[in-house]
Amino acid sequence: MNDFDCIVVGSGAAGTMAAQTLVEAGARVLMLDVGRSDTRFAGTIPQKTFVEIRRSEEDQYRYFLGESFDCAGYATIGTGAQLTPPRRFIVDCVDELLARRTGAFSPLESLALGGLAAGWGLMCAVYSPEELERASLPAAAMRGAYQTIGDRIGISGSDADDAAPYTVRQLGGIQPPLPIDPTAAYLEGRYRRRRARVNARGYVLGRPAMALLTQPKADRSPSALRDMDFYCDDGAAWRPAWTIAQLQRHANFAYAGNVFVTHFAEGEDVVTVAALDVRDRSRVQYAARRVVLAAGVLGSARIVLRSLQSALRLPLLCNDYTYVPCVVAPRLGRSMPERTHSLTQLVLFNERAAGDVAVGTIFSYRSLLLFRLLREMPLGVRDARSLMQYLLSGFIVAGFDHPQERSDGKHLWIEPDAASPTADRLAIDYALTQAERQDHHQRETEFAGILASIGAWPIRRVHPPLGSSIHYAGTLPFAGDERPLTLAPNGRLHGTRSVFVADASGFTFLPAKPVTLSLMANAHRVAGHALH
Amino acid sequence: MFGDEAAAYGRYVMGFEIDAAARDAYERAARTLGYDASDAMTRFVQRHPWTLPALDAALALTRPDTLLRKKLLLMAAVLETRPEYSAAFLPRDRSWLAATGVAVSILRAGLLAVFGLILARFVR
Repeated sequence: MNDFDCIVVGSGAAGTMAAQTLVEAGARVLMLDVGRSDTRFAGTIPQKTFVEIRRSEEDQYRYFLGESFDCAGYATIGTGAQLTPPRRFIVDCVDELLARRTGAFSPLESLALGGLAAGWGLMCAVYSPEELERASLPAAAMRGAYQTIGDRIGISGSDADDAAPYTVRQLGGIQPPLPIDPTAAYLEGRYRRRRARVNARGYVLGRPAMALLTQPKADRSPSALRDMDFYCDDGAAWRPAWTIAQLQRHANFAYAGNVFVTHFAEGEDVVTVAALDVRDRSRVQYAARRVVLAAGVLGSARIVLRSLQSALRLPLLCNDYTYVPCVVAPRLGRSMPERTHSLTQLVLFNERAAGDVAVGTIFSYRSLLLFRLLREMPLGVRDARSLMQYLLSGFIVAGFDHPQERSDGKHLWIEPDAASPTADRLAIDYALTQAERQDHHQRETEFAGILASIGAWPIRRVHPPLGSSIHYAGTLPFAGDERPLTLAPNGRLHGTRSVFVADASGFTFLPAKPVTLSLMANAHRVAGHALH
Repeated sequence: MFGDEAAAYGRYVMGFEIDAAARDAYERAARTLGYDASDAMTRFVQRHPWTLPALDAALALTRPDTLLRKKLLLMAAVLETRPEYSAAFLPRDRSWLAATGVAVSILRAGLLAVFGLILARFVR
């Protein structure tokens, strides 16, 4: 029972990075995880490009629509709608084990091996010193942590374009950026010609930094550019499962799956972690000298509130997200190259003031199926199909994330629920203030104007439900004094001696930049403190 | 009956007869999703298949989540993932003349929608 120095709860981006830091330092580590994984599609998707598959594979409906066509139905826009059948394992078991009442807030949680990072869009960005300060993250320690994480996972991107100060900053060892498709290249060319005007409005455009290899690294190959990124990985993309497989080669690391952690109890010199075995719902216990919680912001909040038997409300941060389908007129009616990727092609940053940066991401749509677009069009299916065949090469989707600081009306708590396996459920009350709504509207209008100025004409503005950005933070904020339900700057949960929280729960501000790289860097930093 | 429906929808979406395998796939998908029911609109187009383009155009504007639209979009999804028909859903090089053709088809779709709106009043 007491063989482990440290228990890490969760196998997502934060959990794996914390575990790697601990294991490499010689600690005996046990990772507890429900760990659902893809058992249906792994190895069955041919190693061909998206277009080759579409033209030749009889069984393609299995991974594009689901084995029984279950993803072909008429669904409304919502959180998780982007999960393709081979990625659906990411939300397996969630409805059974994670009871919740969240109103208009629509969060995505995962109990998968790799957590939400099993389907992460791979975009990386280093927070600026101002953003780190607002998030209560120590700049000097984070700088080194970013480099460590970059070296572990492998990052490609440009360290020379206008976006570099917002993406890779001073990170070393960056691989060359991914190639972009002709539509993105057209937009990039227009930006270069209008750069002074766009920059004068506070915007810069460039290539994104991605946790996707463009050159070999360790036993991973560079991306084959098969344009199947929404359906499967070919080893070029970093996923937590890859790091866990590496860690399992170490004698001082153990992974226990099918374990759903419910709460912890701290004893004299040991922390006991209570859990359910998800196969038979039996109760199990594990113990170690330290516990590092990395169950995702909502998952860690559940565990902490349950363990401390607290009915208090915790703050919650989430980036508000909007997307804007656009048409790039000169690219209409053109064919597209087969060798490309489906991930972020270009990224736009809008810096209004130091530490106040909003982020726009530009995707091509092609490798998602056309029928999803047909239902959004005010035309009959046949005419819409014919029109979209013409429009698709010039069709892009631009997403826009807003930074989020703490404000009124954004809380979560747990409340009794006899029907839940844990006898409770997560409740969330989350609404933007009037001032935030106005500010976001104004910023989105500017963003749409910038898109038009570089040749991408917005068709409409779509506001998915709050929570759709899948970026959550701030539930157990870092605090210098020993207040309950806060974290010490080193990640230790106040009121405990040996329980650390390594995910984004401590961030006191959520920049609009993709959070995953920063939460991994923070997990590495917190794990370093947990060692001592 | 269900086979007739698949054939009619396939013919409408593609502009030509679809094969038996595609019809079977549509039927399986419709059963899985619970789209194997019928309502006044789907029964009407079964009796009068020539009204399908106009009614679809009208519903796309006014009631996009009706059963008929769901069935037609499902047929599009099924055909899109069959190699025989995928070319009709992938982008391809087209001349500037194609833009004129697209404009004409949008105009035609508008007229169809107006006709469909009138027609929908008679659906029982």
